[in-house]
Amino acid sequence: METLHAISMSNGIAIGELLVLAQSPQDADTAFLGEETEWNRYCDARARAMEKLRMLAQKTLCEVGEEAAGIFEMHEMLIEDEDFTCLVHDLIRNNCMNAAEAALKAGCSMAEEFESLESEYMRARAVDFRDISGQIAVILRGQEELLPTLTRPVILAAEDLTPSQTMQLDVEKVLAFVTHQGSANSHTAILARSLQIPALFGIKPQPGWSGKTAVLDGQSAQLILEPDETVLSAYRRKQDGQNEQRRELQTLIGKPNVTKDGRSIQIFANAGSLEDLDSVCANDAGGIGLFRTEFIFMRADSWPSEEDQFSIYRSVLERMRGKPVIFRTVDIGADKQAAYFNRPREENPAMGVRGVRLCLQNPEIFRTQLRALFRASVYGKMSVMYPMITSLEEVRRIRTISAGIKKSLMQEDIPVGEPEEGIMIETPAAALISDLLAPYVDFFSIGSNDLTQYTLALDRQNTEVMEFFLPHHEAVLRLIQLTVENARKAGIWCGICGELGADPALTEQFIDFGVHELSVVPGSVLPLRRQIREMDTIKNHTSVKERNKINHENLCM
Amino acid sequence: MKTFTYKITEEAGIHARPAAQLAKEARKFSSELVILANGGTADVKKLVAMLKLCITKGMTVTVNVSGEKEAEDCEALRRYFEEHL
Repeated sequence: METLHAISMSNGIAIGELLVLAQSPQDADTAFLGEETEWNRYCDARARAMEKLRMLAQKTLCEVGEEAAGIFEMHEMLIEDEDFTCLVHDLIRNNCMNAAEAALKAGCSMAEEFESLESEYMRARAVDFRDISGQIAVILRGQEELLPTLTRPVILAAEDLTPSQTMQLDVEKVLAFVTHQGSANSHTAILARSLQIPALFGIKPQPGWSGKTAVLDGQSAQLILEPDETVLSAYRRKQDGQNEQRRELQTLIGKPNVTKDGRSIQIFANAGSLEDLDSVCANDAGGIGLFRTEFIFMRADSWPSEEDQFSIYRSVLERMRGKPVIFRTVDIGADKQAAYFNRPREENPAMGVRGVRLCLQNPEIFRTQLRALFRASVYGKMSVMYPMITSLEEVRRIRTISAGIKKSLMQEDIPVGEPEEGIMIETPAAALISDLLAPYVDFFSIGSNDLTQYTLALDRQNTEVMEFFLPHHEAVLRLIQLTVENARKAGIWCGICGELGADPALTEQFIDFGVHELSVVPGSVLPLRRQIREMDTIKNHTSVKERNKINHENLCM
Repeated sequence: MKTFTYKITEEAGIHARPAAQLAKEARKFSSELVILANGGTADVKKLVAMLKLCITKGMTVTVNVSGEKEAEDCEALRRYFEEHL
């Protein structure tokens, strides 16, 4: 038994026989048959490649879906592109390259151009050019039959696997795949996730692996070669359970979060890093309701620059493709520390310099982050929210600072989008004066973890006090209800991020309150959607009231 | 030459799919179509050139239309932008 660690492209568990794909020989012949002949050969191969792509698009549309089929329609247009074609022609005419060489070289040049672009999304398109030029070269070199016909289900291992190669295989027989090259943002990764095939990259396949049994775990990003019986049976059980559950939940992708009686609520996901975005998207979250920017600060060795922050925020927005993302400004202090923060020890850090307090005391840190955020705001649908608010004075100060930053960016001719600005309601003070705060902000987001901790005077890190912790304490629920009501009166929206948002016992009550959005861990999005879709709030209305009454009675005992 | 400016409202900007569709649409026109954005220019009929402009939501682009049927084409293309981008 041998365990290899990799990077995940698509989650899930696969158990089966490995098949290693032979690498296509790169040292093909370089004979040049004259400009006209090579050009004609290129044109024929191009026509054949386009025909194949049309067939693949059709096949993908039927077997996978529209988004994945779009990859091949796009490829077809890239092959047709005039600039690309001219480049091939020049290489044949001026550099006496044969058709296959010219196609590969042109694909390579185009890929390099895209790799130098600023946008992460466009950089990922470089792979598309390598893919299409490779396809033409394969046709020209008569290597089309290189892909094996799969006779039984296998875990496929290859140096690299392009989307077109993937779709040319009988995907029904591909249990999973593992490649050496890859990226989580690649078309192959998108395809794997659409097909719900577990996939890893970052492992170099060895020719000797073919025929061996393996377990591929997309979640823990491991490939286990020749697992022993104990491991194997443990994974079999895990796989059965997951398959069952996943089949059920996957049917909910693309469906709205609407109760049987027609009431709806948004379900967003929480994220803390770029790596989280995959699961946010795979679970069909409506957006990101809480993006914790702290991670950028905690991972760094010194205060991250405006440029560093900008490029991360931009990538997040681009990868969410227009879905809303709510960035919470840096919430360090309390339990979140790094050496370079250089904070003095506090007697009671949960009530110390944290969240927006730290930003107001260190205007440079705040200014750098807000500039980076506002600059990135043109790349998607951005909202910014400020944590640890307790007073109107703070909100006024923040809004003055943020307005000043927007103004100075505009004076520098830097475009700024229209980011909404909101605050977190996570202290009882903020909840109680939410009517006064509402006119100054575009939205509220209730941070239930801190709101509970501060309302109940219970340190959630302290296990000694756990027995006094009541997650559904009426005091917290009343503060939530008050906040939502005040938001509604002021005409702004109100969401909940934090653990209560994902608590199935409270979902119906939150819908009754008029909560607009729940932001939960990505894995909870679909289970929550299932629950909401099975809910009938009219029918259950009395039962909720009764439950509240019971809650109330419990508290009074 | 006819010209129009337009602010992109499509969430994804002129990324892969919208760009491919735009290029396809543009080829139906006989006029020469040039898009100016992000400090660069591109032929609207050429997908790759347009992709390289990295046009995102909120950007204002200018499109120059020239040819025998420029008035008609300009109007039709402007409508396409409004409806799809």
